[in-house]
Amino acid sequence: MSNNKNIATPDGRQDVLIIGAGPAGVAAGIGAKKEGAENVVVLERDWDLGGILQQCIHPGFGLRTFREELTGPEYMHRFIKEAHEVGVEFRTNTMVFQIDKENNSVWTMNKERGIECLNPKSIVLTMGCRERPLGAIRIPGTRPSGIYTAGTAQRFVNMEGYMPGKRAVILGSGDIGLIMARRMIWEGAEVEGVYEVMSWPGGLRRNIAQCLDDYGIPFHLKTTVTKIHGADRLEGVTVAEVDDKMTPIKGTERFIECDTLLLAIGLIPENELSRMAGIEIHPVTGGPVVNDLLQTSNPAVFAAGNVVIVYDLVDNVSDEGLIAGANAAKFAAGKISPDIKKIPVKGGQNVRLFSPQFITGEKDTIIYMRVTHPIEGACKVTAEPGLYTQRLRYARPGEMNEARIKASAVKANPNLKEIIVDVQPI
Amino acid sequence: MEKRKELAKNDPAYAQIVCRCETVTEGQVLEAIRRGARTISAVKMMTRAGTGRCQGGFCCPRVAEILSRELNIPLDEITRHGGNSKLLVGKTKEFLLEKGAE
Repeated sequence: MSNNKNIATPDGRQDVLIIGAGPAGVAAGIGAKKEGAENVVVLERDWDLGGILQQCIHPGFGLRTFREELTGPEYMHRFIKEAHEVGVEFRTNTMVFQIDKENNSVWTMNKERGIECLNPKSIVLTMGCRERPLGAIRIPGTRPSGIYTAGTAQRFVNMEGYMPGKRAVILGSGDIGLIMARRMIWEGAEVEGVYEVMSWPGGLRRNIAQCLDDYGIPFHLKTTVTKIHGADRLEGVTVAEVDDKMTPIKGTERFIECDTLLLAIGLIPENELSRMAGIEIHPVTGGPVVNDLLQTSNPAVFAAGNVVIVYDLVDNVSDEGLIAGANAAKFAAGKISPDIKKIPVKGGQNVRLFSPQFITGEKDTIIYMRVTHPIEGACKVTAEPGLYTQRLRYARPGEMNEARIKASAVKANPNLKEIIVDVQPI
Repeated sequence: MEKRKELAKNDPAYAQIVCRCETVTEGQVLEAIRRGARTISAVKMMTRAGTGRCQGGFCCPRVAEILSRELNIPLDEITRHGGNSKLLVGKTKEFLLEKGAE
């Protein structure tokens, strides 16, 4: 199944070449085929399809898309099955190590094929994101074994069947950290607590409830790890409360004995290839600047999923993948005009990041955003001038907000110069 | 590039990426082990695997697997830098049974 015959177009070029077979890439493949592209190829560096969802064996995926609760592999399976049915070609164990910005050539490496150079008509970037490592936060002390990002530990436990330790402290409250706290308990380890430097949780409220509260795992806000102890294997960490400037408060330090420190301190879009390809990267999202067609600053290159902006839900990632794939197919067929209208989107006072950054008005679209400060009470999401208003019960940085923009509303206002999205209390 | 092509042609392991950040191949890791690397740190020093932007987040499990396979020792015996710096403390199910027996 996984090796469909390569139906090359007469000139041997792929119509749409997709980099990464995670949820965004597989959906992009489906989107491109359904839009009529002939030769659609997805490159994947791992030996199997599905990206990081392969190791997400907990339920909670697909509530929006399928209206049922699936595990990561189950969710992926449905998309992979459809991709095979519509004729998407997958190449696994294939690493893209270079994209030439002059001509969009894509260089790949594979055991059987060796090193190859592909010249697709359009490209979709779906490389996903990676975890912020320990080096990103500079904690004093030693560097013993037993310190892992939550995702690395998740791979060891869920895919290799090995335990990284017996008593863990979790630093940061991103969703993978919360999920791993529960997993460690399920596998018989202890979790001393979860420590978050901010005054609000990094992950989804539902994960705090289902992964920490249900197992009595203490959750400490405005507290962080200030020192690491142990020469060979981790022996413990010092934690301390922090003030409003995030400086540790003297006298609040406490030593905790543990053999494992898991880090869930944020995710960063994986854009080394995008930079190589000369694509404009947004300084705040860390992903390519895109319009609502998910087209980057290079018109032949599209991008979707966590490589653009880190989403909360895989359902959003798949939705964006379908859109990017379909538009890449249109581009390959010469159906996207080079002088397409672009209205810039701007973030209001309480919006830290958002995507897309430009609206064409070609279709209905969703602007995804995260608030800077939480609002614990009635508030509303707006897209001005008068394009969208939605009341909310609360708004939190750990949970994305959406503004749904109608193409008709954009078209009805020919003088539209910019769109401002914001979330403010009522 | 030419050297990579040449190596990949002679030994496919040089076209199998282990560390994506620093583009280190399985061939390079195997070579490091042949030349005496026995820990994650040794492989890191000799190949750059794990020195990139993700700091070994993706490649650490892979390098550990290759060490385990090549040296024929269990995965939970692999160390970060020798001594007692083991990466793992046992298998998941064993671990639960142990706890149940207590």
